Amino acid sequence: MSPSESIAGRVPWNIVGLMLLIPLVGVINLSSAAQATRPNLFLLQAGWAVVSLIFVAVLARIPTRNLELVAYPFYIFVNFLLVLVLVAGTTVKGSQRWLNLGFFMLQPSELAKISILLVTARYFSRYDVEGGYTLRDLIRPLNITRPLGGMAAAYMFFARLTKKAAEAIAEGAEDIPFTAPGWLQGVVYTILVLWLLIAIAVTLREGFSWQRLIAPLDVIMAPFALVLIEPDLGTSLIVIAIAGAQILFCGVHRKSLIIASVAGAITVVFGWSFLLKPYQKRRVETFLNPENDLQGAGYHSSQSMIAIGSGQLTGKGAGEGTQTQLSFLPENHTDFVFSVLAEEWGFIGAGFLIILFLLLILAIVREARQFHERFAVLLNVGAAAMLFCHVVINIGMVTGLLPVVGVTLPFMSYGGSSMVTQMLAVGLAVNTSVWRRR
Amino acid sequence: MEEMHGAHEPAFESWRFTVTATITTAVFLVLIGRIYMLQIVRGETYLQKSESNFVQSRRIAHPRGLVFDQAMRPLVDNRPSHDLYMTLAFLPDSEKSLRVLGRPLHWDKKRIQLLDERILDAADGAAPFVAETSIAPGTCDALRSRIDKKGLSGVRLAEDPVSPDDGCDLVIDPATFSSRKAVFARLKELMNLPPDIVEEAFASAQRKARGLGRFKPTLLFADLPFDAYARIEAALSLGELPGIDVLDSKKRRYLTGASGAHLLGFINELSASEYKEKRKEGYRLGDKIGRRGIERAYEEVLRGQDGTRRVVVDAKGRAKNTEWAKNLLGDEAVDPPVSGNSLVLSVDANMQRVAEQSFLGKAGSVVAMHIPTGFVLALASFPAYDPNEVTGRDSRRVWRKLARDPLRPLRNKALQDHYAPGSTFKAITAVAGLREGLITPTTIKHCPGYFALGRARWRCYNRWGHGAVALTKALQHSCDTYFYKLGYELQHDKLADTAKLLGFGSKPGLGVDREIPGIIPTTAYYQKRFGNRSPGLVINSSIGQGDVTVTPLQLAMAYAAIANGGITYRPQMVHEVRDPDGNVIVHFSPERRSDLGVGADLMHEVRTALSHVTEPGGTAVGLRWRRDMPELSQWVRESGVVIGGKTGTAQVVRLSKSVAHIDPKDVPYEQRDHAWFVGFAPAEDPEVVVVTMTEHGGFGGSMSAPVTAAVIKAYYDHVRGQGRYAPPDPALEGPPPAALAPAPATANPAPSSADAGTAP
Repeated sequence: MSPSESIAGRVPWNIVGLMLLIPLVGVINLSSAAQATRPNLFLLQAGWAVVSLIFVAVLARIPTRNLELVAYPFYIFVNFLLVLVLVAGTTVKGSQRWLNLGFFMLQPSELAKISILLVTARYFSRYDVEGGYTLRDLIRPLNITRPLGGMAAAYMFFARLTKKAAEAIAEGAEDIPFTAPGWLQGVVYTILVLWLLIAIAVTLREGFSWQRLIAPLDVIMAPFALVLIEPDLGTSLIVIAIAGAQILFCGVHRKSLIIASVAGAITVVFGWSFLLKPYQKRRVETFLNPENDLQGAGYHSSQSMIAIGSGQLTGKGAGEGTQTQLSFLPENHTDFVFSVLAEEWGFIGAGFLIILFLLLILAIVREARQFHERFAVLLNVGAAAMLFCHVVINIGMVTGLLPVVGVTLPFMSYGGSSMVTQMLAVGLAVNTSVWRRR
Repeated sequence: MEEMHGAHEPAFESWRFTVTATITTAVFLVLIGRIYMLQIVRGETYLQKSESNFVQSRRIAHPRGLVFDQAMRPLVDNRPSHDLYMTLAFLPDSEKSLRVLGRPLHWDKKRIQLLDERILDAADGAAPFVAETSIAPGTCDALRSRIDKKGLSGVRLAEDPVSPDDGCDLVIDPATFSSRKAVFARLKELMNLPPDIVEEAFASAQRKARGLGRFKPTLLFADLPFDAYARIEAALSLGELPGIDVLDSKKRRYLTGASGAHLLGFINELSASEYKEKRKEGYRLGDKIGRRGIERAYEEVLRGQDGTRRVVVDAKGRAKNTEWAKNLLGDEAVDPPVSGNSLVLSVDANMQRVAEQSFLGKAGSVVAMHIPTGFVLALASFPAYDPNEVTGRDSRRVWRKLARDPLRPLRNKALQDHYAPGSTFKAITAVAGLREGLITPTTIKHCPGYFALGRARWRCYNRWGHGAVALTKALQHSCDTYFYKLGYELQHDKLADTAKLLGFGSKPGLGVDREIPGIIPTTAYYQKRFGNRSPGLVINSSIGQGDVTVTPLQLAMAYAAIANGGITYRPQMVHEVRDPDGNVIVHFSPERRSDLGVGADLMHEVRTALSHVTEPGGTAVGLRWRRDMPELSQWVRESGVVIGGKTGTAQVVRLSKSVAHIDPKDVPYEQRDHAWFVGFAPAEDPEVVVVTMTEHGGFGGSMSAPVTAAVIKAYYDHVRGQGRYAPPDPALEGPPPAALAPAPATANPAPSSADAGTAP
């Protein structure tokens, strides 16, 4: 059995068929969506699809084991790019997400998804705990890095508060923002220093290991934080979701799961009050009541719902969607591309696409059933999770189920980075099937 | 294949995959349920919403009906005009631009609002101002890239040339900063009209466009001058002026300018409160409605109905005209407009013009009426105004001026003002005497220069008296004593009976504007006013003084009746209503109001007596030898047309004896007498009657008679025997009553009637 024959014989044609079919639907849909504004956009998208498929073909030939070796170097490289984009990135619409490579605008946050997929799979394929991971396993609070990171975070936080207060005083504003008093800072730093001392003591007693230095949480939090401050809330959530899905799949201790859920809920409330930017808050607010402010922030959401709803059962026909063609639907070739499909092809077209996505995800998960390697399974689970998050968040947002967060619909939204990333993710699933052990 | 480490059984238990697949499927079913909800359950609602998104109803202006004079000369038509509209929501938003600038500078909402107000409130030519000083160099760069990327205009960063490292100042030029202010400034430049007019229009449009009006086109400026229109069109085609549209419309044009202003009236935009009442009748906001004169009285006839055209618009409100867009609308895209019907007036444009041009006083009115039918030939009120100006772009100023004018130009004095008729009323007293049988044409009364009743004396204007006076002489010389005596014999009610039959004391029924009835005192009237019968006051009434008041239109109507043998016709101004194709759809016939019931021979006597006024010895003989109007005098002398009539000089202020005969020119304007002249022609078979009323004109014979004569001449020059006013032909003018044609055969002095027993 020659290697090429073996590859051809093991190609998961169900997955490959779907990864050809869905972009085809996407290209056809784009030819209508951008008809008025950029009539040749669908050709570009078709070009990107072809390029991505070539990448996938190349990826499929690399043994899964080698991918395992590449995971960490790639992870470090991507984090480097994420730092670079914060320093020298190009800002569009208020977020610094793009690296101008001259011929191509690279979006490192897209690569971050692939890299977290690989690295989490790599990490947890080698790290198994009987009865599921506990929070302690995942976080390892007595790591030396934890109090050090805490100090860095506390310093940045306090410095930011002080700066804001100073600005307010200089401007003569009436209400001066809260500044942390010296005693509070002192208390916080003291706790952190004590924590550090305990961590060092524990390390010295139990002996040094890499695990003492880097916990799974750190691996996930680094790209998450870097993407979040671009700011790109949607992508950062997906980064967390991919890793979270893989961890959940491996199994988490029941008690820890409950604690983590409660802590997550508290974080959401805290994040709402302190971390979200005003425009993000506004989006969430309008999501809760979109009809309230038609021309304002709720405009996107309600126009999208009008587009989808008015498609009814059979749609208005290709190129006949009034919401799309008369530009009532905003960003109709990127984030709101599903609304175009739903308007012009109706419930039949939109339902068909959702089922295609479902079949693709189920195929990826099903393929992994018989895999013998944890790494391969986790790659498939990560790819499925990534697709799942994109599809659910995007369709949820255009149908008014979720707030508008700017997440693309895989293979359907226009964009080179997005297309390549999604294809590569599915390509990983193709790879694992091709190289699986019988 | 190389062996990989790990067991030979699957890496994970099967249930993990099953749970994953189940969760995934469940969530996707929620998505499908959601689109089912939107598309199938609520699909119809959303379809309607999407339609109301892109379909806009735009009105198609319809032409209002035209107005012609009796010879089909157009008096009012519609000319194409261009109106400027704005849609506030689509104008550039300075607040948005400020938010872009404000982000790196950490401006808060209040700050942005203040700056926005400052930009929008800035006066024209206001200097650029500094919005933020000494910005850090890093922020300067961020700002610069924002300004470049967004293409913001009217904002720049000023750096200190000496030490550029100290940062920069942000300078905003309100005139060019991307705001509606900038669009207005550009429009102002393009329109090139007086700035205050333009400012006012902009301000009121912005007030109207509040709330939901932001999304509707609001009239910014009606009737652009052509050069401004051309410049704005050019700018629009270049994509300048976002949110501004130019729409075609029709503008009412009064071709004769101020001539006929009062009878034609004008139209105006419906006010918001009127709209509430009128919307049931199909009026829409912004519709015009007739305000005065014919335009108001025949609003229903002239109005017509706007059509609508449904158009497809995109998210920015721009109309799409592609084949695709047309198919979206289907067949019912256009609801065609209905043109208004046209009116053919009885008024003759030439007579109207002559009446206006020959008028000698400052204020007053002229009414010309066709005697056999009661149709009005001319109706002028002074001072007049130009309806084009009243409805034009500077209407507010014009309107203020007109409203403040003490001469009350807005009032149609021919039907809305009443005056003491003075001596013109003597003919009515005479007719009353004949009708009641108190006198015959030969009855002689003596005039010693006064009439005494008890201790009171009423003086004749001729203090030496006219001696023995019969009907002809009494009217020709306007002898007061004759009528004092006759009036006293008649008493209030008999005089009033005849006056009322002639149309006094009630609204004439022209149906245009609000007519007033005037006052004809009766015994009951004095009972009410003074509590007694006041029999002496009839002496004043009999010469048209005292409480008697009439409108010029009433006087014309009454003299028409006297001239035609006693039949009063309802005055009318419209001959025909025609549809837009010119077919007559309604034809108006003469309408009788009343018949005096006095013998034709007696009426002939009165007419003959009145025909001596312009002859030597008559009060209006001056007409024959006017040096200032030789042509008219020559016509009066030589044309052979005998003008019958009566002068009247109505006292406004009771003058004391000593000033009774001073030159009228030395009396203050508002104390001078009103000057009347009623003339009809030809005296032997009258066709036209003309009343001229000159407020404070002094003596009727000199101020008013020439106007009447000129209008009568115009009747002969332009109207008589032509078209509609061909010599009285029963077939043409509908059913003229038999009494209309007074037999010329009875022209000889009639024998005294049976009861003619009163000797002088």
